[in-house]
Amino acid sequence: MAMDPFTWSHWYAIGRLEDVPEGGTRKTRLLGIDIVAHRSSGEVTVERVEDHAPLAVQERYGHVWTTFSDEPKPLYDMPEFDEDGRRLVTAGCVTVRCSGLRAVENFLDMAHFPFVHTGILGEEDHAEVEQYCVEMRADVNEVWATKCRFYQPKAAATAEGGQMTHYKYRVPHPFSTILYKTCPIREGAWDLVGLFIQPRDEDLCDVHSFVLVFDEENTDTGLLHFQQTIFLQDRMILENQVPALLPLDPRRELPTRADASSIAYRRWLKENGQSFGVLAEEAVG
Amino acid sequence: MKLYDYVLSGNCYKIRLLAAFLKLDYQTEPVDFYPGKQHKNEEFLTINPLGQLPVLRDGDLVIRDAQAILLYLANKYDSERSWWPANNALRVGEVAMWLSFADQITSTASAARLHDMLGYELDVDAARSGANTLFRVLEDHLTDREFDGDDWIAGDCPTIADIACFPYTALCGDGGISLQPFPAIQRWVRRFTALPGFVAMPGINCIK
Amino acid sequence: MAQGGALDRWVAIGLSSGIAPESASGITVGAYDLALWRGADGKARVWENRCPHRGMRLSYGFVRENRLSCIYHGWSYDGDGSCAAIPAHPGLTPPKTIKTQIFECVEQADMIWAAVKGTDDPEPAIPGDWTGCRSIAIDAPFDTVAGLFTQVDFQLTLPAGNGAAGPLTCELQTLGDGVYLIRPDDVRTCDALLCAVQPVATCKVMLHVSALLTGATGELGENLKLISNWAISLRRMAEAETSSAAA
Repeated sequence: MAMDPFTWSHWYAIGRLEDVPEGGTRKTRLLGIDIVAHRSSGEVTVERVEDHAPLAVQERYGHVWTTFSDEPKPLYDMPEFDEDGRRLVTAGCVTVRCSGLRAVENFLDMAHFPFVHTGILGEEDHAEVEQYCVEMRADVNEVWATKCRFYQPKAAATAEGGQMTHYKYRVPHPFSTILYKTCPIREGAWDLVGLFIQPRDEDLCDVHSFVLVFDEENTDTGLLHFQQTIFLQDRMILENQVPALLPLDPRRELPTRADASSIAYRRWLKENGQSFGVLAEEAVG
Repeated sequence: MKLYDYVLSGNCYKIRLLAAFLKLDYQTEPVDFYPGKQHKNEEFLTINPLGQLPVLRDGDLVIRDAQAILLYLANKYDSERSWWPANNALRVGEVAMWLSFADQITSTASAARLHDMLGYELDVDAARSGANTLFRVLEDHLTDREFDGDDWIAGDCPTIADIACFPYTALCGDGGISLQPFPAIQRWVRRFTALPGFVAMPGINCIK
Repeated sequence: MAQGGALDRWVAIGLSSGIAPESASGITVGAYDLALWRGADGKARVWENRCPHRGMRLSYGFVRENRLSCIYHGWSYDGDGSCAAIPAHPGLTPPKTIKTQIFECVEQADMIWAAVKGTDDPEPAIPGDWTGCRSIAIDAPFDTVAGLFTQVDFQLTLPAGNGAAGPLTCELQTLGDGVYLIRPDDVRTCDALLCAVQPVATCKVMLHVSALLTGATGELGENLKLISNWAISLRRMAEAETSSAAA
């Protein structure tokens, strides 16, 4: 297994809070290691199946998080979770046969909207991706893509008719990504959609996702159906990318300007020494 | 008319397909099948004690089971009598046979999909192998149909048998089953997605 | 060797009638993952099943006129494999460096044949007005299926329809590794059958069957059904042999 210190140092979501109810257990797998979560007297414990070694646990952002590291990097901050009036919908976990890194990269990509999310997030007549800004924020070691604009026929469960949607993307963790998009009903506010990916193995992941929005129109189930529709359209793509692991060598998969966020993400992974879920470099000679 | 619906359900998709082909007006009531298991809660069990989707409400009538709803809608709303060839005893027999076959596709190919996608605990090897056995039967049948110059499962036009067999066959890749060994099924899937009024669902792409 | 699925020699990968104009399909030959597609011009093409952009399998793509487009981002490719358009950048002329990996592809005997570029294996040349019958998947090793042709007495198995009484005497000619020409003495079902075995995986092949029907009597569809049923009986034999070998 291609383990690396960067991968090892993070917290990982392993299920929604509701997935580990009082008295219940959840068996799962993280980074190639079988683990089990259990809740009693309100408190969640997680241990490694092999040797019952207890792991650190925290409950945050609607999910249970754990880590194998003794000195984990602090879980990234999302202050929006504390704002009044927002609704959180957690969409449950969906298993995908691919590197979790491929799922993050797909999430950062606007150019696929017209073809994979046809009639919802994009349409063929408006396929152009305008230039956007990409930055590596050294202070927090995060990748951001900002000033993203894309024409969308139905940008969210609330949206009626097409509009230019404004996006920001954030990668605070190799296996997490968050989208901030202009809220259609509250001036100046951003709605959040994000993925917390649990890499089961290098080429298999559980994708936990959430929506955190100001929305007075849709039911939670309506928001859930919208989110699941989008992600299950992506799943078919993710399972058919060859190879399943993410190549970091830019000669292997050819990017264009629209892929600026993907280029930055791959470079960031490389700089941080990511090897779990990455295609081993072949000798090019 | 109201359909209790889950976007990722192939069985609910059967109803959305027929409604689209027949241009029926209906509303959907989204059900949190996953992860909320709303179809097993008390409120939903009063609508369908089996705790399954889809359910259709038409006026005072509440009807459950995808194949039953297809039969109901085709009989009530298809004035051409083509989706359920009620006037032809032979066709009725054939279509009914494949409706029952479709339920077997659900219990195998759909089970593999629930396992691979949503983490359901079940014997996925048995599910995949069962699906492959069924797909071989469908492949041999569709091959013979092509020799007769026909494109569909029964008769010379699409019926609710095609609708019932389509979703979990077209979605089998979600459960780790390949259609590569079944070229006649692939051609039938392609013809089906080209039908006027066809609507897609997540996991089935149909850009033409 | 064919068993490994190497494409340095020509391998039949499907029936010509199996792939309609303006459609694409995925094909596996051993380690090769291929996209087979046909343009509106009728020409079949075989490419590596991978978009050079983000690795998506091109067999899920869509064909418009004579271009195959990737379903992921709509990058479209001309028949020679060069990228013709990138929808995210409508004003951009795609660089010539963006090209898919293409394979040789010919159609003979109503079958599609593929090989790596620059193969020194001579192109298949099987004259006659052949009709593709079916491609049938068999869960058996290549050698087991090939063995049926070289070992089994075909007099017992060839279809004897249209009033002809079986068993039919026939002549078997091996045209290549896994490629067989069978000529029965009674031509009322068919003058000849061409059978080509495509290795897929260790215990999986596709058997492609075409027929010469110039002397055949009876309905075309009924003759093809007879031949198809014969292919089903071969499948049964090969799989029975495989499971008894495993037991």
